[in-house]
Order: sequence, then C-alpha cells, then structure tokens
Amino acid sequence: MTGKRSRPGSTPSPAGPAAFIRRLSRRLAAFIRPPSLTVFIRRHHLAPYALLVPSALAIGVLVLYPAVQILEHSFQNYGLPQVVGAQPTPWVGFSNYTEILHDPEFWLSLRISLTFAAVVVPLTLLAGTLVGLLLHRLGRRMSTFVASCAMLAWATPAVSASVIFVWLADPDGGIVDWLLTKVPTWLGGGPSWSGFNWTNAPLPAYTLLTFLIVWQSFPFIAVTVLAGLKTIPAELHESARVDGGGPWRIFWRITFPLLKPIFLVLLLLSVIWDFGIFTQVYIVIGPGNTNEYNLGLYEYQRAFTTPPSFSIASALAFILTMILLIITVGYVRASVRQGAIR
Amino acid sequence: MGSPRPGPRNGRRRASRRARRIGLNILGLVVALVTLFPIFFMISTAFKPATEIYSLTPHPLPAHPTLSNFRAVIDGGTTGLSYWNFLKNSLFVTVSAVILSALIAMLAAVAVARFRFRFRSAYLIMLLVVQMLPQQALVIAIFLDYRSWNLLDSLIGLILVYTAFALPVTIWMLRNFVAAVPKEIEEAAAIDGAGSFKIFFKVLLPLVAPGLVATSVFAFIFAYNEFVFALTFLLTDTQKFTLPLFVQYFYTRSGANWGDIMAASTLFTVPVMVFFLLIQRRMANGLVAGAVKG
Amino acid sequence: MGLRKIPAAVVTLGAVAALTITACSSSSSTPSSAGSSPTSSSSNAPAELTVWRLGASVPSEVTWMTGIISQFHTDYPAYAKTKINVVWIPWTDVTSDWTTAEAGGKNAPDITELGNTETPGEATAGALLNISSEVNAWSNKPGLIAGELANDSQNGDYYAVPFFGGVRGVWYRTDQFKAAGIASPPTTWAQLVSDAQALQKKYPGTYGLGAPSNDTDAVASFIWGAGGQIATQSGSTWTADLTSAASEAGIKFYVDLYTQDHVSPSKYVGETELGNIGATAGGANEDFALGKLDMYIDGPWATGNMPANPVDKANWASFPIPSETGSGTAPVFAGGSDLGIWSTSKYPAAAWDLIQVMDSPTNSTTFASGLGFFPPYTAQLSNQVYSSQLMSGFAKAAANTQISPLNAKNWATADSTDYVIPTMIKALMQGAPFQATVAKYNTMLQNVLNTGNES
Repeated sequence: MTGKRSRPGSTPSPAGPAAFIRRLSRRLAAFIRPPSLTVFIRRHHLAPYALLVPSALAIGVLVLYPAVQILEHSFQNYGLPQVVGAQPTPWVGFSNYTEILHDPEFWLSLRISLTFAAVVVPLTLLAGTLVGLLLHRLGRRMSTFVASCAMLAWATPAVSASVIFVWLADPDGGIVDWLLTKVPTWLGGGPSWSGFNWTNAPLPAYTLLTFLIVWQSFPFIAVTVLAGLKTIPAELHESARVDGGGPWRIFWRITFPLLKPIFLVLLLLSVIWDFGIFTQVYIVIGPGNTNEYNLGLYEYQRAFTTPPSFSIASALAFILTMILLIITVGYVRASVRQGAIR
Repeated sequence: MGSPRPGPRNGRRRASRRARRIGLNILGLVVALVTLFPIFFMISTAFKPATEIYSLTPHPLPAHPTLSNFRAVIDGGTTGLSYWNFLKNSLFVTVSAVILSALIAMLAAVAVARFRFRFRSAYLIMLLVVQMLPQQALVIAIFLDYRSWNLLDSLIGLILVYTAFALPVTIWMLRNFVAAVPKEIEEAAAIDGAGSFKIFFKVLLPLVAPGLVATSVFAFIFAYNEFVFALTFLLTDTQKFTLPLFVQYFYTRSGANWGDIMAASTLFTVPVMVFFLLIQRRMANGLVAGAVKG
Repeated sequence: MGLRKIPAAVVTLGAVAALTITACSSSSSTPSSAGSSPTSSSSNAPAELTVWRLGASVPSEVTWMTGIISQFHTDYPAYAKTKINVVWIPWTDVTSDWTTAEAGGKNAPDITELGNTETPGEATAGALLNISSEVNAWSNKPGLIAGELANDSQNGDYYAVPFFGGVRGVWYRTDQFKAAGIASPPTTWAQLVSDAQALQKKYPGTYGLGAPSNDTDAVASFIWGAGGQIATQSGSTWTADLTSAASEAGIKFYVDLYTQDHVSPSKYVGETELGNIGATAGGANEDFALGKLDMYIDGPWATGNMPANPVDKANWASFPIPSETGSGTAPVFAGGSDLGIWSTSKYPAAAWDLIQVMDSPTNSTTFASGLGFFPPYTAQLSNQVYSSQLMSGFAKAAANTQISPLNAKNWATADSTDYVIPTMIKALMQGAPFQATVAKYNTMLQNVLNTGNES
C-alpha cells in the first residue's frame, strides 16, 4: 500500500502568502524525498540547484565576487579620494604592478614570507609526525590524554596565543630571557640575554613566530598522522619487526610510503596556512615595525594606513592570492587523486 | 616464527618492553607539559599581582593569587566598557553565524551527497579552492563593498561574512556525513508511508546529528576566534568589538600591564577551550573526515 | 499530512530573520537628531557631539574637559541636552584612526584635536572642514600667535585653530646632579654624555639618558643642533638632507648614546618615549618617573603619562637640549595641537561653538598652564611666568624653535605610517652600516615627502 504522496503541481495555485508557503513547502518536500523514476527525471534539473542557491549566493557574493574585485582594483587608481567618492577610479593598466616590482619593501616582505614558510612547514611536519608516531605507540588512555593536551594548543585562539608568546618573550618579565641567562655561556646562553627584545628585529621576531606557529599547528598534523597510522594494518609492522627491521627502517620502508598521500595533503595545507598567516604576525610584529612585515601584513597596511592605497594593496593581495592558488592547484589535484571528489 | 617461550631471554624482552613503555609514557607526558605550558602560564600570570609578575625570578605559580587583574578587565578600566559587553557581542555574532551556516550547509550537503548533477564536481572544487583564499587579501574588497552597502561598523556584517567563510568547510564536512547515511534507509521510510519532512527530520537528521555537531563546533570556533574581519569592519567603535578585538585592544593600549592582558586573554580563551574539550572527540572524527582549519 | 503544518524549515528561517531584524535595530547606535540636514543651523541642537582628544585620559585633562562641557551647556542653553562624547586616542594611533574614519565613512568625530604637524596633511586630504568664515569672524583671531595660525591654513583657507604649543627639553633631578658632582646642566654634547655616564656610575642600575629609536621629534633636535637639516623645501619640492655631514653627526650622536656610550638601554630600541607603539606606558617616560632613568627627553606634558607613584618628584627640573658645540641651545621642534572640525560632521555649527569655548583665551591658558603647555595667544604667552624649576628649562628652549619639515603635507605619512626616521635609527642601533643606511632612508624620506610613496 503506497502512502499518501503529494503530487506537486497537480493542484491549482491560489494567491496569498499562506498558499505561497504551502506551495514552497510542497516543493521542498518533493526535493528531499527520494523520488520515483519519472518524478526523479523531472525534478533532476532543479532539486540540487535549488538546494545550492543559498550557499552559492553567500559564497559567491562574499568570497568569489571580492576575489574578482581584487583583480579589478589592482588595475585602477583607488585611494582615499576615490573611496569617499570625490574622484573617479581611472584604469591605469599595469602601473600598480610595475610600481610594486620596484618597491624594495615588497621584495623584503616576499622574501620574509617565503623564508618563513620554508622554515616553519618542515618543522611543523616533523614535530607533528613525531608526536603522531608517539601517540600511535602509547596506550589508549595516555594517547587520548596527550592528544587532548595537544589539541588545546590547536584550539587556542590566534590572538591569545600571540599575546601569550609575546609575554613569554617580554624583555622585562618574560620567562624566555630569564631561562636563557641561566643557560651556560658555552651553549649560547649567558647574561647577555637579559632584557633581549625579541620583536624589534626580523630574525628574533620570526624565530618567536616560528615557535608560536609550530606550537599551534603540530597538533593537527599529529592527529591526522595518527589517524593515518591507524589505517595501516598492524600485521605489516609486526612482520617487519620480526624480520629484524629497526624502527627507523620500518618507518621509511613501510609507514612513509603508505602515508605519502596524507603527507602530501598535510604539506600543501601547511604551506598554504603558514604562508598566509596574519593575526599572529599582526600582533607580534605590529604596525610599527615596517622592516619586519611579511607579504600579507604589508598588503594589509598599504590598504589601511595613511595614505590608504587600495589599488596597490589589491595588487599585492592579488600576488599573495596567486601564490596560494598555485599551491592550491596541487592540493586540489592531490585531493581528486585521492578520490575526495567522487 | 615460533611462539614465545618462557625463559631468560623472554624475561629480558618483557622487561625491555616495559622500560620502553615507561619511556614512551614519560615522553608523552613531556609533550603534554610542553604543549600546555603557555596556556598554563597565561592563567598563572592572570592571577599574579604586579609585584610577582615583574620579579626578577619568575615562579610558575602565584604566591599570593589575586583577582584584581580580572576585576580591572571586567570593570572595563582601559576601554571604559565591561567585559560582558564584548562577550555579548562575540556570542551574538558566533551563535548567529553557526545557526545560519548550519542551515545553509545542510541544504548544500544534501544536494551534493544525494544528487548527481552537471556542475557537481565544479562546485566541490570551488569549495576546496575557496578555502585557500587568504582572508587578509579579500578583506580589502569586502571592506569597500561593505562601505557601499552600509555594513561597516555592524555586527550583522560580521555574521554574514563569517557565515560565508565557514560554509566551504562545513559543507565539505557535512556532505561526508550525509553520504554516509545509506539511501536505502530513506527509501524504506518512504515506502513505509513517511512524508518528506518526516523523513528529513526523523530519519536523516538524527543520523547526521553528530556531523552537525562537529560542523557547528568548527563554525563556532572559527567565528569566535576570528580576527581580521572584526579588526577591519568594526572600525574604531569599541562598543561593538568582539572578544578577539578586545584582547588585542587591551594588549596595545595598556602598555606593559601584563597581568590585565593575561586576564583578558584568559577570559577570552578559557570558555572556548572548555567547550572544545567537551566536544573534542567528535571534532577529531570530523577532522579526520576531511575538514581543514580555516 | 504534513503539508498543512508550516514546514519546519520555513519556521526556522523565519526565526532567524526575526532575530536578525531585532538585532539589527538594537545594534545600531548612531544617535538621530530630529531630521537635521548635514548643513544644520545652530538652532538644531545635536543629540551628541564627539570630540577626539589626543593622549591618555589623564585625570587633570578629564577634569578640564568636564569643566568645558558644563560651561558649554551654560553658555549655550540651546545645547543643554547635547551629550559631549570625549574619546582619548594615543598619539601613535590617531593618524590611522583618522584614515579609518575617512575610509569607512563612519565613527568619525565632530571635533578632533590634531598635532600641529598633522593639520596640513589632514587638511589636504579633505578630512577637515573649511572654517575660514568662522575663523575670520572670530573675535579672538587677532590674539592668536600668527605663526601657529598660519600653520593651519592651506591656500588662504583655515582648517583648524591652534590649541596649545609645547617644546621638548631634558628632564633631570637636581639632587642627582648635585650628588654626581654636576654643577650645572650640560650645554654641549660632550658634557651631556659625560654627565649621563657620571649619573650612571653614581646610581648603578639606572640609565643615564634615554634614547628611544622612535622619537623623531627628539632626534630632530640633535640633527638641528649640529647645524644640519632633515629636509629643505624649494618651491614645492623637498630635498632630504640627512646625508649632510652635520646631519649625520647628529644622527650618529643619538645612535651612539646606545651603541657606544651605553647610557641608553637596549629595550628602548623599537620604542617611542612612552613605550611600544600604541602604548601609553612602559617606556622611558615610566622609567624616569620611577627613578630607573636619570635623564629623559620630552616636553613638560610628560607628567600626564607618568604612573601614579613617581619618585623624587620635588627635584624634577629641565634644561634645553644642548647643541653640539654649545653656542646656543639646539633648535627644538615647535610642537603643539590644533582643533579642527571633521569635514563630514553633521553639526558643524555646534562644533564650532564648542571649539570657541575650548579655545577661549581664558580656557586655553588654564589648560596650558595646568598641563605644561604654552597657550596659543601672544598676550597670554608673554604674560605667563615660567620660572618654576621644572618649566624654566622648557621656557628657555622655547626661544629657539623650528618646525620645518615636520609641517610638510606628507610628514605624517613619513613619520607615523612609514616610520622612515624611526626605522633608520633602529637599524643603526642594531648595527647596520652607517653611511649606506642613512643614504637609503634619506632617499626614502625624500620620496615620501614629495610623493607620499617610498619609491
């Protein structure tokens, strides 16, 4: 006995809001229930698209459209007079880009961004993988405990983490300088570290940032590696160990090849995140230290400090986005290969 | 090989295995302690009076714990506004964004998981790509758009942009959960005479509920912690600041008053950590299901 | 069947919409006045006027503002219900806050205090209202110090009025000098350094003379005190002059205070005289008040930022910044503040009335005397007696002032956005090669002064 099924479109359509809601609910009902073959074909065109409209609208208007606008503004002259409407926004072709290419601060910030990513990503992956391996070997309760502690670092808001690390490295009351003065001089420590200011030069500031980012990022790597390790059948490891393989060889011959797809994804994700960090750099280095900006902060400052130049900032933003998109292409390809987009 | 036999060599192996286990446990403890130390130090500093904070030898725990830093922050010394005001702003924005994104993501997840249509892969690829667009780059264009749409200095503007940026990840996570529910269950319910909405609410939704929880937690953490958009779109109107902005404002304005800064940071961080700890197991599942941190 | 019930999805959407609408109306905080047009006449009383004051909300300043507000309400009964909202903005944040107000079109003040070096830039950027007619009709206009008023004009139009003036000097303690065997304040650079070192020796654990790297207004006195210039203008073109021998001597002297003479601590590298950028505490200012720093370069207004428990306050005194050779004092930057009306203010007439109250000869003089500034009126300035132990040094310094190039249109960009000279000093203090670094930042400064861009 088939249940009562409404047949959308079979009743005449009266006017009025109640009738409209009734019609709308009937449509929604038709979309969600599993349709019979004929109804399925008829609804095939509209159902998924209608369901996607809200998300497509939100993402389209607030993410994709601004992305296109960044490109558009980078070809215009867009400063404060244009924003307040006092002057039009003329097309200036590539002159913003040529200006950037001649700007030493651009090259400095780009170099800082690249170097930082090149240092932080391997460190994060290394720390995360080691902790993941450790978690895999620990007993279940200990493993959950350590993983939870690590995830707390991941869950710490970027603002709080930045402020904490600046405090840890404070020249007056921070722990880092005090600890370093206790380290014997032949190891690099000693009293010269007292009152050392970590944020007023690029190298110490980015060293501090390295510790901060590694601290915040390694838990995610560890948990993902752990999940991957759990998918490897234990017999593989067992037989390798019985065959006389040391842990190092086991890792390289068996574990690593099996986890390569995960590592690839983690590598790409890490590069994308670490290249595009903003909050931590903004708080640790701040608006004053212009010779320490990375590309993201430099681009933001060009837009929002006197005199604002939204066009130059857009061009810089576009360059930053392009670099990330190129890496994203690799990530998307890896995902497709792994069947994430089936 | 052969089965393990009792004997001297076996005893040594067992002993070395126990030693290794102890060693690993110690290593695990060290990792946990090192990871927790910054958080611990933040809370500890928040409870220290000023004399202890700047003493020449820092101590891990406050000798004379005090609530004065918290009182200064809650009463609103530097900003003129109480902490509760910022908490209210943050919660309003965060909860609204979570609800809105959960609704929209659910619709989209059903579409992507249950239907095959022409632009499906393109849509999915778009979701992946959009997650990688740097927010500090897009903020420029969104700022200019918001200016024309009069959404600057508005919490509503924040809700909209948080929803839009949380959607790609939440849709991605949810679709795995929806896809995991076998279609047969829905079809069986339909055959049994259940109407469309009954299927959705009584059959699909309960099975996807863990996924909704996971994505809501993710969206909550994203919106609660979000900094760039709040910094840019709320302009200089301190009354509308959310908690991350409040901590940063405190940090830049109060000079070197670390006790107050750490108290503000603690008041901001501890709620989200407690919340996270309560739900973290589901989070881990959701993460492994292919989510990424925004 | 379920069709007769309103679908739950629609209900939820409706609830969200309702939430949004109520939140929308409760989160908007712009006060509305009964249908006034932007060019309101003074008969339309505004509900609220926003005044941006610069610096920390020091109790003495807050008291003065409160007095002004009650006088405003008494003198102008039409504004009796108008709330005056005073916002205190640190000096290092104000240029970006102005830019945000302009770019965002919201949260702008009605009246803003400006540093006198910032007025030309903001006026040219269109942030300030052209108040020429108001100023020309003002009875107090003839009494204003001509040079200060001229600074506030562009192409013959007035965009602000001077509020107070101030100069920098060197703060010290008379008892410390006596104990260290210093008979009288130094008048040459060599004496300045040796006095700082003597103080450090006599009081171990303190520093002799604070030299924060982000303190262009102080560095300027050393450049000028050696006979050099920061930049010169011919026509409308600026030529930066940091690479001349005299300028380099001044720069080198300031940098050497940290690198060679060791009279300034490393933590001031990267800081302003108040501390980190945006902070109003934690730097040389606080250290001097607490006795950790023996000599400190700042103006008499510095007391406003000092902590509540200063040390040895009775012996505080000042002397002018010495020149290199001692022939006269070093020229000191003629600082000060102006008051202007924001160009998009909805209540320009009411704002001008408030400015008249704030900047009347009586009020501005009480303000200046109470806080260590100089009033903007010629008669009041010459009538004041600055013979106190603290003020006499500043008064002596005020006889030798210079303002150019700090009143260049793009100076705020050069110093408060791009931090050209502060970054140069910081780099030099961190060991960068002297000639090359000075040359590099000299070019940058010239570019910014002329075009607003660094290249």
